Amino acid sequence: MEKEMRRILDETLCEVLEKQAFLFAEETEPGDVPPQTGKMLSARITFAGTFSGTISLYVTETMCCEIAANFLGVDADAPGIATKAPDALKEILNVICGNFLTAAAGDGPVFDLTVPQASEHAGAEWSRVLAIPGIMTYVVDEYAVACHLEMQQ
Amino acid sequence: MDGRRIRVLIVDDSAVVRQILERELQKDPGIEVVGTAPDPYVARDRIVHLKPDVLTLDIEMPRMDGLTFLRRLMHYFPLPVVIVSSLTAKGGALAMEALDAGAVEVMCKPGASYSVGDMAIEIIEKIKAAAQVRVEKRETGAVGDLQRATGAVQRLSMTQTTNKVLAIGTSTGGTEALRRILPRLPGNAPGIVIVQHMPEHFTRSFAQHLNEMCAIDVKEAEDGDTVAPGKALIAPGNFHMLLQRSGAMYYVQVKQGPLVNRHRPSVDVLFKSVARYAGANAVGVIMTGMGADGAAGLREMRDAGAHTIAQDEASCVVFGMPKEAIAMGGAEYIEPLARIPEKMIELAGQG
Amino acid sequence: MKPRLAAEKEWDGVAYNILLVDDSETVRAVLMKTLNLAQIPLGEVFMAGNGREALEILKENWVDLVVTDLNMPEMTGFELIDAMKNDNLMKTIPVVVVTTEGSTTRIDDLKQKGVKGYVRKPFTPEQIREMISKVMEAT
Repeated sequence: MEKEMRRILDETLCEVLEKQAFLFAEETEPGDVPPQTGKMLSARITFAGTFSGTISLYVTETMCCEIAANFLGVDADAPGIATKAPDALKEILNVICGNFLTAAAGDGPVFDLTVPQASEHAGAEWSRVLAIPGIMTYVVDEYAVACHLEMQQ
Repeated sequence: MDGRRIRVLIVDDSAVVRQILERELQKDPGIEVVGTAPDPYVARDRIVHLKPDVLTLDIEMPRMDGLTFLRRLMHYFPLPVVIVSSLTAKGGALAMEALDAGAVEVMCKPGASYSVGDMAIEIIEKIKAAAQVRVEKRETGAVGDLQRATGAVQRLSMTQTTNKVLAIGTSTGGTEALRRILPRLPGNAPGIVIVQHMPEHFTRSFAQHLNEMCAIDVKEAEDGDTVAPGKALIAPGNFHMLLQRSGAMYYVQVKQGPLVNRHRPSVDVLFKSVARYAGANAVGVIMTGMGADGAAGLREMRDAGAHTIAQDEASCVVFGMPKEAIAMGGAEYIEPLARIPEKMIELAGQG
Repeated sequence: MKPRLAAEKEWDGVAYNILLVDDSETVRAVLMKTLNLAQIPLGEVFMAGNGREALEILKENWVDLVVTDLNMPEMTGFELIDAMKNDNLMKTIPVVVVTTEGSTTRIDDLKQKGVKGYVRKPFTPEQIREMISKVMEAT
């Protein structure tokens, strides 16, 4: 069942990134993710309903700035875009989670979502993230995107 | 207004009505039409930029209805509003809600049964009265919040009430004042006759509205209605109402006739008939309103032996009619609105 | 001489005051941009990060339309809609919900409460423009 959930989340994530940020993610094995430079940003959201769990999303800061810029329709090097990156990441995760839940459970059931939390990490953290069992990894241009679904029993 | 012209904004979805109102209002040297608006959104823009003193508002408009607009206006940009409404049952009910929401006056749209000439006299009067009103900001409130009158007045014994008549006259601000005092009267209060300056048809909705709030029965008067304890009669708009007596029984005559003090119904017409037929058995009350209608009548009532009350300045929306009544020596007592119900009943009980 | 208002100018000044409620600054900015690009006559546009801030704004400012998210910290969009429904003044302001919420159970419940429109995230500017035009023309 977790495998089926991951497949649905994978589809939703690609769709949302494409629709909301105009980015095309390519699925990759964790071992094939190119080395990343700069900080890593992450966001987390928890859902509870017919089934419950947590989704975490990890991206390189540069990539996150691009998400924010595309979201806003401005240039990725626009002044102050870095300060908006965590907010854009949280929003993307929020949208991914909401759409994942209806794709997985249909539009009848009711789920409660937490407000997404973002945090900042050193680039070295990528090795830990890529080693998480069941991690889903993608490459957008040369940047890494990782997503983890943790179902609660 | 210190000699300054009253700046008026006309809000109406009908281009014809806007044009008629603008033309008629411009004829009065004391009024300046600063703008017109065909819809509430434009009206808001004009209010913000033109800062009018008084607004005339069509209560039945498409899109955001006039009532919704009025409620928002009273909260965000409180200013005196004269409601212009059609002469329909629905119009009457809406007009009552508009007064409830904070409008100071209601009047009729010109139409088949109501000529432009009649309207012009009336609207100019009403705009001038409205310009004197200081409108307070309405707070937002929980749904179902209704200001309920509190403190019912003690009942009188039957023998004290049967031959007594309470006569009340009021104008601008009077609808609200009556809504505050009548619900506090006991179910066996002496018979009451009321003149509230208000257009035809609206008086019926107003009476029905009061009837739902009161222990006494309130109805729009019809010719020949008896004046009896536990019952209040409101003079219908566009008719005079006079008190009459047949043996020991009082009844009202409702009839056409010329405008008196520019009004029909006129408070003076009612008060003078009360002075004549009820003499010392009456209590006269003059309340908030512009002008002098009722001042001479109240003096006649007092001279005939009736007890009389004028509403005090602080509690009046417009201190005009009571002021004139006091100046003419007709007011035996001057009371705030909140004290008027007790005082009326107390004086009626004093034989 | 008093300037006359020419008839063709009578409709000048139609403008809607809109309140955007979303905890994401990014979404607020996107919505603002959408409003600017759409052919919607705009008066003042207000922004709030949650339901409580929205209520504060509504108490002080004349707003014609509320566009709100649902899942927000401090006070959610559901709570905001309930609070508006219980206020004599605010209950008549149309509300459009823009959310990731996909449960028809919840959406139907919101429509029961008088919510006029619903746009699911991710949205396109066209969807927002169409929904707002539709709601404002009906009110």
